[in-house]
Amino acid sequence: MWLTSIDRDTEFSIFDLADLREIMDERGWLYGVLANSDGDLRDIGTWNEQVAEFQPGSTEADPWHGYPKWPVDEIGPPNRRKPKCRPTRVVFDRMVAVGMISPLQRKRLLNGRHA
Amino acid sequence: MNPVVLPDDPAGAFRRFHLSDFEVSWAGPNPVGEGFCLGSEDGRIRFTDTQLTYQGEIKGVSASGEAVNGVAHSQQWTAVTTRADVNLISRPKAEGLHEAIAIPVGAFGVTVASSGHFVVPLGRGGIMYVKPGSGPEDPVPVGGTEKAGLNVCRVLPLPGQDGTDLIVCAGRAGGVGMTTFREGVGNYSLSTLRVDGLDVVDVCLLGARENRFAVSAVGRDGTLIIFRDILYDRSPRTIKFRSVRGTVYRILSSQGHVFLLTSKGLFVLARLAERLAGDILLEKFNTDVLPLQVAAADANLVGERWLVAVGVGEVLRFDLQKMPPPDTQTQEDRNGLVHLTTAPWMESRIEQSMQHLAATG
Repeated sequence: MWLTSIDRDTEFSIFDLADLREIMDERGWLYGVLANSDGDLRDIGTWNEQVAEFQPGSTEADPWHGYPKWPVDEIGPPNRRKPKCRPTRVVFDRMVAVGMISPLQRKRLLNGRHA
Repeated sequence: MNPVVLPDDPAGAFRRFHLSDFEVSWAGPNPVGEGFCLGSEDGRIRFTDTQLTYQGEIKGVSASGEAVNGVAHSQQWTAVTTRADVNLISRPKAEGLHEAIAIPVGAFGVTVASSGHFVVPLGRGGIMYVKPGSGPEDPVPVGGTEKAGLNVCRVLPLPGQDGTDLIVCAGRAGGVGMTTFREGVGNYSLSTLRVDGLDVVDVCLLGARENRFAVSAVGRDGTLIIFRDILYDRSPRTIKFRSVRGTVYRILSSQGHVFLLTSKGLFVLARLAERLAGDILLEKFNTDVLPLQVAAADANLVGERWLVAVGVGEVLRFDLQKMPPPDTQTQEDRNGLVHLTTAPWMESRIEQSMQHLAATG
C-alpha cells in the first residue's frame, strides 16, 4: 500500500520516469524508485517498500496499475504464497545503467535491504 | 567535518581487496577457522584467510541463485539467506557432498542463538527459528510480528533465562521488539517499544558480563536508542551525533567502540559502548567521532579484531586494533552529541502462537 504522503502526482512521476528510462523486467512490467535530495531512496510503501512495480492492464485500453513492491519474497500460506515477489536482478542493473540508483544502492536492494 | 581517508596499507588499519571473479554481497566470519566467509551476488560462498586468500568455495548454496545476504554457522551446519530463500547446508560428508535443504521464503540475514538455532528475520513475516540438521519434513517455527507492526530486518539473540533464547529485533517503524524462543514451546509473547517517526534498522549488544543486557538500536537517521538493560528499560535514552551523516545501514560494537555504517561512510564513536553499558551518565563525557570515507553496503565483525565491509567489487578490511586514535578529532566533533527529546515511548505486548513452515529437500 502506498504511503499517504505519496500523492497521485508523485506516483505518476515514478511511473513516468520508469517508462522514460525503460526500467522493465522480462515481462515488460515497469519499476521505479523515489530518491530524496541527498540521493538516498525514500520509502513509498507502508512496509518500507522503496521500489514501485507497475503492471499493464489486462487489455491495452486498461490503465497501468502500480503499487509498492517488497524487495523480498514474502511469507504466506503455501497455497497463496507468491513465488516471486521480488523485482529481478535485471531491473536493478537497468536502474544503475541509467543512473537512477548507485551501484551501492543496487547492492542493498539486491540483498532486500533499504537503500 | 571532513571524512578521514585511511591509507590502503598491508600493515595498517585498512586494506582494500578487489575480487575480479566474485561479486561479494556479504562478508563475515569463517566457520572453520580464522579468516572470512564471503557471499556472492550469484549465490556462492567462499572461505578465505584474513588476507582474503582463497581457501575454498561452495557453489549453488542458494536454491534461487540470489545474492547472499547472511551466513551463519551452528554445529555442523551453515545457513545461507537471500531475499528469496533460506538454505541449510551440512559440512561435507565422506564422499564430499553436502546435504542441503531450502525454505522458500525471503530473509534479511541470519544469526545463531545460544540454543544453537538459526534465527532468521523475515521482515513483516516475523522471525524464523531453524534447528541445525532440520530435514525436509521437519516443521520450522515462525513467530509472527505483523500484528505488532514489526517489520523485522535485524535480530540480536541473547542468552535468556533457563536455556531460553532472548531475541531483540529491529522492526523499522514498529520499533524495537523483544521475544523469547525455546524449542517445543508453541506460545510466545512479543513486546515492542516505539516512537512515531523513528525507523529502527539495526540493533547490537553494547555490554558484557554484568552489563550483558545493555543494547543499542539505531534509527535510519542515526538516532541511537540506548537500553541499559533491555529486559527492564522501558524508556530508553535517545541520542544522535551531529557529525554522523547519511542513511544508517548497520550498527556494530567492539572493543568498547560503536561503529555506524551509513550511506556516507563508516563512523567510529570512540569508547561509546563501554560508557553506555556502564554506569557513567551521558552528560559526563564527550565522544570522539571518527568519520571514515568508506563506500560499503554492509559490514560485519569477525572476532574482536576485524571489521569487514562489502564494497562494489571489493571487500574492505579494518583492523580494529590499529585504528587511528580518536583524540585526533576536533572540538566541534567532541561536542556533537545531541540528546533528543522524543515523544513518550509506546509499549505493546501481544501473545501469539508459532506458525510452522515446511522446508524442501
